[in-house]
Amino acid sequence: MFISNQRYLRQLVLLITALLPLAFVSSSVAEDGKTLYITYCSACHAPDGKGANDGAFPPLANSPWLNGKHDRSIQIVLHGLQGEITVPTDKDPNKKYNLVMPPQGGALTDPQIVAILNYVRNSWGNKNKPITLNDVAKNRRATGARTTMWQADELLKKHPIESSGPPPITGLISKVYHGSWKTRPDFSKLEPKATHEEHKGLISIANANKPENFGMVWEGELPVSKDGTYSFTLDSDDGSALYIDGKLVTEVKGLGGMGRAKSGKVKLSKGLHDIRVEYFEYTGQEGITLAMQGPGIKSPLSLSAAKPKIKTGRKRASIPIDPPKNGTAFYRGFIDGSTPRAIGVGYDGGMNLAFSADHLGIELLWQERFYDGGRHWTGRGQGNEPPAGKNITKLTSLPVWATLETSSAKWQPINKGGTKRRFRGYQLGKNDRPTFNYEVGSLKVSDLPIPEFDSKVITRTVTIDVPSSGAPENLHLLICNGLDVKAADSPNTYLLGNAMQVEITGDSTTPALVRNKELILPLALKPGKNQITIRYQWK
Amino acid sequence: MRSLLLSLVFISPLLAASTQEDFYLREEIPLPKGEVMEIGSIALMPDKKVAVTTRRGDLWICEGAYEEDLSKVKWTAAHRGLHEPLGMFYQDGSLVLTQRPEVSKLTDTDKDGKIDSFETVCADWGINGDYHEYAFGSPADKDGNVWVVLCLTGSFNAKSPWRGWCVRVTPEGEMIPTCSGIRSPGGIGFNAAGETFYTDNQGPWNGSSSLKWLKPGSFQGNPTGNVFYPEQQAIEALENQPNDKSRIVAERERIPKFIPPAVVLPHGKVGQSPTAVIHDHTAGKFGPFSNQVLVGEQTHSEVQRVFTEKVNGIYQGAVIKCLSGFRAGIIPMRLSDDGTLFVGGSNRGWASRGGKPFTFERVRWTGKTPFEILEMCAKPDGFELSFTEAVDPSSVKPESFSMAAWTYIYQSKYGSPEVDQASPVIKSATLSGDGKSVRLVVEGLVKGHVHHLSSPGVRSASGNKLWHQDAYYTLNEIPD
Repeated sequence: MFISNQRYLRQLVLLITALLPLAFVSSSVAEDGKTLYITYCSACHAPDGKGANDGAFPPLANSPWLNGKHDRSIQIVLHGLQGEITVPTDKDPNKKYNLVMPPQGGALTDPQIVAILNYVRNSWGNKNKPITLNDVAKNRRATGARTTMWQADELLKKHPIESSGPPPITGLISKVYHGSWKTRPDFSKLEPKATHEEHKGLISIANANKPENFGMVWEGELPVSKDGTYSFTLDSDDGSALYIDGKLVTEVKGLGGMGRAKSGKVKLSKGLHDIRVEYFEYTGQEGITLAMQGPGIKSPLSLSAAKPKIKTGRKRASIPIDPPKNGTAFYRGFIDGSTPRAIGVGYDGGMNLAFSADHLGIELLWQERFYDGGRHWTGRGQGNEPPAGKNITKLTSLPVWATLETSSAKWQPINKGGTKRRFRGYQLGKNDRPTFNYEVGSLKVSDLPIPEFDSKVITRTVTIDVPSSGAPENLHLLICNGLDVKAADSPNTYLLGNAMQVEITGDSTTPALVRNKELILPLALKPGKNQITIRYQWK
Repeated sequence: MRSLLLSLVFISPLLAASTQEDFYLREEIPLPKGEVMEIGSIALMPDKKVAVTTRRGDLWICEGAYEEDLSKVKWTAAHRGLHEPLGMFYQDGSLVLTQRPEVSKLTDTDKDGKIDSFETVCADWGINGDYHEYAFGSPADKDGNVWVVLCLTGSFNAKSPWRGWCVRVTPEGEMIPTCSGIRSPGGIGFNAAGETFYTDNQGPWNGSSSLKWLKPGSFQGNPTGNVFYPEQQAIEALENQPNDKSRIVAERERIPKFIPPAVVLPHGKVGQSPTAVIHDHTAGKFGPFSNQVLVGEQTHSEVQRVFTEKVNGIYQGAVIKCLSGFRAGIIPMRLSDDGTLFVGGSNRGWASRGGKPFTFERVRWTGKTPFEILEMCAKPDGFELSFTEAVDPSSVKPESFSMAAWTYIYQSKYGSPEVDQASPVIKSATLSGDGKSVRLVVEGLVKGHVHHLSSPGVRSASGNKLWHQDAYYTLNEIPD
């Protein structure tokens, strides 16, 4: 009786389960990780976990970010992640991404997060212990006050990616020495203060237990899986040296910070090789990184606990923008060195400028290549990108129209907005050369730069239309600030820094005002059209 | 129980499954070879020309996009070097663009096919170099104004003037701050009555993405941009600042200027990133959905249909899925007078189900009417559904429908789970005399909740299931 009742109950449960998809599924039913993942995550990470659009978005399959300790995954889901990250894909072991993962902690419940993470952490080749509601709750408590997304480097500091697999160096032993050296001492003549077994097989100064005036030597065996030439990159603060099979491979000499990396190459046969690293720290900051590259090593293998910064040569895609023959190229993006409303103009003869529609003036001049769209035209396009060419001259960094009561008065620009200072656009003339139009108070200004390639000159004709009521008193035009300004031998000519000179002529020319890295033109404007010619010449 | 299961198993194969191809023909329009055409805006021009702009800043003119044979389309680059335009329309010989920094009027004055005049109409809002400070612009309204919605800095902050606001730009170039409360828009346009709507994306203070009504002077829900109220005189500052971790229904009581989302587009279920807003003005050339709003969906590469009505002075209504299968994430849409829907899109930076990096497509109605819920109107005690064709009377019974309801936490955190679940009960379903509408009496309607109506049992008189059986009605107000 008891048994048959049990069976009956079980059959009933099975029947109800079978019917559930037909009925309204209440939220009390256990969350299904796969369904939730498809609904909320797969648009970017793809149903197969390989990253949407052929890996244009980060994969989760075999991602070291997702595998390993669960706190990192939970934190990314709760608070989101931004900044550049490296994730190995099928095609590229060092694929860089610079996207944004929006925070999901406010949108997903704890049971949903548990279900999703247990699904993705155990799919597509990922294998991890299941996480629990308590794990998510603990993480929520730990970072409950957080209101911003994780920056990638910030997250990695807190939750570093675990190294997987066997220790890179076997039988590694470290010795600690005390002393104050400015060059690498002969450690063979010194007595170690302590000796440690480094079970992780990584070069680490953790066991020095001392921030200043110490040295360390590590010795162990380096497994090599293929015959071939290997490259080692060593960086340290202060000095260090790498020996393999007793021979010096590379050395970072003397005192100095990280970023002085030195590389060396050595031919190694398959098997174990003796490795010895020597290091000393004088005072200040300290650190050491060592990376190995060679046959069968997809991404640089770190032999140190601190992650080496290795340039893999795989930079952001370059998308050159060049002017057409006998034409002009335009770029309106965020040009470094000018303002957000900068308009880049590239002339076909290798001369370029950036006009700021915020400041109403030409802020940058440069030569050769015009611009690279690679930053703004890949991913979300964060950040400013400088001009692509050479000899960049930054003429001004302020609104260039102002009234000055006295020659020593502070630069007080005419205000923006309303009718006070207003950009009105541009017209293209022959060869698409632009004329910029703007209003300064009641003045209407047109501003036409024309390149002269043979003489390396850009001549700028500024036409100011003044109403019969006249121009504002004490109006001045800023030609340059931030560069050393000197009067040149020729009249109305000034040297700007050491690469450029400028000649100013026209209707209102009174001698320009030269003061503390500023070149300022006082304007005595008459009703009607006034013309000023500004001739920029590269030396 | 067993007989119900059996009958379901046997009936299903007998019902002809409706597919999109029966009703709408979606075609990719060939793009110029070698060009990266991440389309951000579309304008319809005279002589059956179509202008598009790309996120890289190129302006192209397409000829032949209306022809049967799309292999002959001709593309001409009219300019390169704009600043990420996300809004464009044609007016009196010019193209009016909303670019990231400004509204501009572009003209080919010498008629050589290239733009040579770039007139800045208005550049009075702030940008600081942050990529997320997008500006989406509408076509001209009846007064000639362009409505511009300004995304928050990084989609979280108001670090540049007027971020988080909708502004109107007059033909003279004056900027009129119009609504605060914007987060991260994806598109803006008008309904058939000429009122302005935009889509805003899930995130802080947006539990889900939604379609919102830009009633001038209103507050749209995200308080970040409220710092700019003192910078203008026309609109009085909010009565109260919203409470965190609340509900919209509750905050509307405290903040009369708060206009709730007209139609919530439930996150995950309906979409993840709504974009373009247009309406069907073609009086039947695009199928049976005259005057209804169409919303683009970037992540799901879809077009959704929205029915709205005004109850107690507030817009509300239902979203029903419509078109799918687009090849990239949809950003702009335009519907021509002859019923050709143009759709453009890009996947850069934001992934979509359509796996191509960018696309340009058109959709035309085949002339065959799908069996669909045409309208879903709120009633004091339920809903009234009207259908595109007569309904089989035997399928009009409460068991043919089911309803679930929920809302979202109104909070500063990013998004919200679905909360406060309710299970309204369908007490009766009554077919109208003309056989084309059904009156549902529902017990347990909840003011402010999304009401998810599923109608799996409904059949047309000719035996068809609904093309789309799910409708999501946002019940901001229950009519008296």
